[in-house]
Amino acid sequence: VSGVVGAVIIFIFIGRMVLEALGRTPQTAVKVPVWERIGRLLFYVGLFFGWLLLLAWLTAGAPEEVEAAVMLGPGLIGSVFALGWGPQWLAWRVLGPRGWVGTASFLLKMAIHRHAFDRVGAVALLRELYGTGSSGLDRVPVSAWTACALAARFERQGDPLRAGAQIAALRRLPGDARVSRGLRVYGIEPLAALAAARGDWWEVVRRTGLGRGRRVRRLDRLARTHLDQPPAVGLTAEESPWLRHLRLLDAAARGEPFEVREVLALAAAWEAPLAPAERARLHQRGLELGARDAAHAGETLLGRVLDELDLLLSAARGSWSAPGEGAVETELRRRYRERLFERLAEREPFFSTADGRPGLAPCDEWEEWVRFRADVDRLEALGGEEALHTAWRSGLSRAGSWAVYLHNRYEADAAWATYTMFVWTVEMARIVGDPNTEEIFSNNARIVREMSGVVL
Amino acid sequence: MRVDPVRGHPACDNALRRQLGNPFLVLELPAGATREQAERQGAKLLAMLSAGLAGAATYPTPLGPRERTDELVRAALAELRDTDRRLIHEWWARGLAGAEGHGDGEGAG
Repeated sequence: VSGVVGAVIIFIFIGRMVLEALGRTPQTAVKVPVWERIGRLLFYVGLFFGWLLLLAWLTAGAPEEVEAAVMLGPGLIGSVFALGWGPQWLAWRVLGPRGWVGTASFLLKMAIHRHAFDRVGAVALLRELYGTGSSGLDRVPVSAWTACALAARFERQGDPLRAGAQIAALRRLPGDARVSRGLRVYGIEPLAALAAARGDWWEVVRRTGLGRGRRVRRLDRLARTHLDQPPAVGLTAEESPWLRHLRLLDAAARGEPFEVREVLALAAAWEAPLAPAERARLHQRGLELGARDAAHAGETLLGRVLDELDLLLSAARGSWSAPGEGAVETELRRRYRERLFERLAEREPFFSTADGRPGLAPCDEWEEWVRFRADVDRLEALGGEEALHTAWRSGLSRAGSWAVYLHNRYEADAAWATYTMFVWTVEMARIVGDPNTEEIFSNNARIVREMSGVVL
Repeated sequence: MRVDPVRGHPACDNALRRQLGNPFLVLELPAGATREQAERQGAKLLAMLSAGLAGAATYPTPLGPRERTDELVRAALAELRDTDRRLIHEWWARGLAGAEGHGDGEGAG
C-alpha cells in the first residue's frame, strides 16, 4: 500500500510539472522554480515514508494483524492528514500564532495548495498576521489572500476602518472571482478574532460571513450574542442630542467603532433643537446679550453642528439608510455627496493609461481601488442612480481604464483585481445605460478570465 | 500578533476638545451666568490653580473629569467676553446641562 501511495504522490507531482511545461494549465504570474518543486516532492515523499517507517519501528515485534491494522489505519489516515491538511493546520493553528513564522511559512510553501497564487498569498497573510518584518506583500500577485493581508496590515497599524474596507470588498466580488477554501478556513478567522478583541461585533459578523469552519462559526455566534444585548455605551434614543453628539465624538476620537446610521439618527435628533423657532429664540437671547451678529447665530450654530456631523460620518462605517425628511439630515447628505464627488474627481489620475500616471505595487493599486469603489457605493446609496449618472458623465466612465492600465502593466499578477474591476465597470455601464462601455469591458473581462481562469 | 492601539480620528478629537473646553464647563458655571460671575469665578479658579489646590485641577464634564489649567481658564474668560461666541457656548452648555440635569440659572450678560 505504501508503495502505491508513494508512487501516486510522485506521479501527481511529475504530471503537474509536465502539464505546466506543455502549457496545458492556464497562465499564472507565480513562477515556481524547479528546485522548489523537487524540494516539495522530496518533502512529501520523506514525510510519507518517514511516518510509515516510524510506525513500522513502533509496531516491531507485534503480531502481524496488529502491524497491518496500524499501517493501514493510522498509517494511511496519518499520511492523508500529513499530505493534505497537516502543514497548513500546523502553520495556521500552531506555529504562526506562537510566533514561529519562519517555520510556518516554510510549511505553507511546502503545503499542497490548489494554485501557486494561494501559496504565496497564504505566506504573505501569515507574515502580516504574525510576523514582525516585511511580508513581501508588494511583490505578491493580487488575490483575496493579499486583500486579507492588507486588512491584517491595517489592523496592525491600528486602522480597523481600512481593514474593514478590504473585507467589505471581498464580500462584493463577482460570483466567479475566487476566495479559496484555505483562506475561508484559516485566513478569515484570525481577522475576525482581531475585530472581536476590539469588541467590534458588527465587524466580526461581516468577517465571519466570509469564513468557514468551526472556529469561524463560534466567533459568529459570540458576536451575535453580543449584538442581541443592549449597547453598553449609552447611545440611546432617550439621550439628548448634545450628549449623544459628545459620546459619538468621543468614540471617534478613541477610534471606537460606530455606524453611519447612528450619525444619521443623531442628525434626526438635532432637528428639534435647531428648528427655526429655536433659532429665533437664540437670536432673541443674542439681542439680550448684546451680540453683534445675533441674527446669524442660528446659522453659525447649524453650520458647526453639521461640520461635526460630517466629521463623524468620515469616521463611521456601515451602509446608509433611506433618507429621512429632516432639514439637518438632508443638508448633511448633500454635503457628504458633494465631498464624494470631490473625492472621485481626485481619483482621476488613476483613470489614465498614460506613462505619467502614478504607478503603485499591485496590492497598493487594489487598496486605492477599494477606497474608490467604496466612495462610489456610498454615492449610490446617497444619491441613487441619478448621482451615478452625474458621476459617470463627470469622469467615472473612464474608471475602467484603471483596470486596463493594471492589466497592461502587471498582466497575470493583477488578473484577479483587473477581472473584478472590469466586471464592476460592466455593471456600472449597465446601470447608467452605456452599451458601448458595457461591450468593451465585457470583452476585457472575458479575456482576463480566459487568460488566468485558474486564479478566478 | 502585535497591534498598535486603534488610531482615533484626529479631527473628531479636536472637535471633542473644543466641546469639552466650553467655558461654562471649565468655569463650572450655569449657562446663564453673568459676565461678573464669570470674571469672579475665573479669578477664584486662577488663584486656586496657582496655589496648587487639588480641587481646581480638574472640572466635571458629561464624559468625566478633565484637566483644568491656567491657559484653559484664561481662554474660557476670553471666550465669554466675546458676546457672539458666548451665545454659542451658552447654547451648548444649556443643552448639556439639560442632558445632565444640572442647575441652569438665568442672568443677563
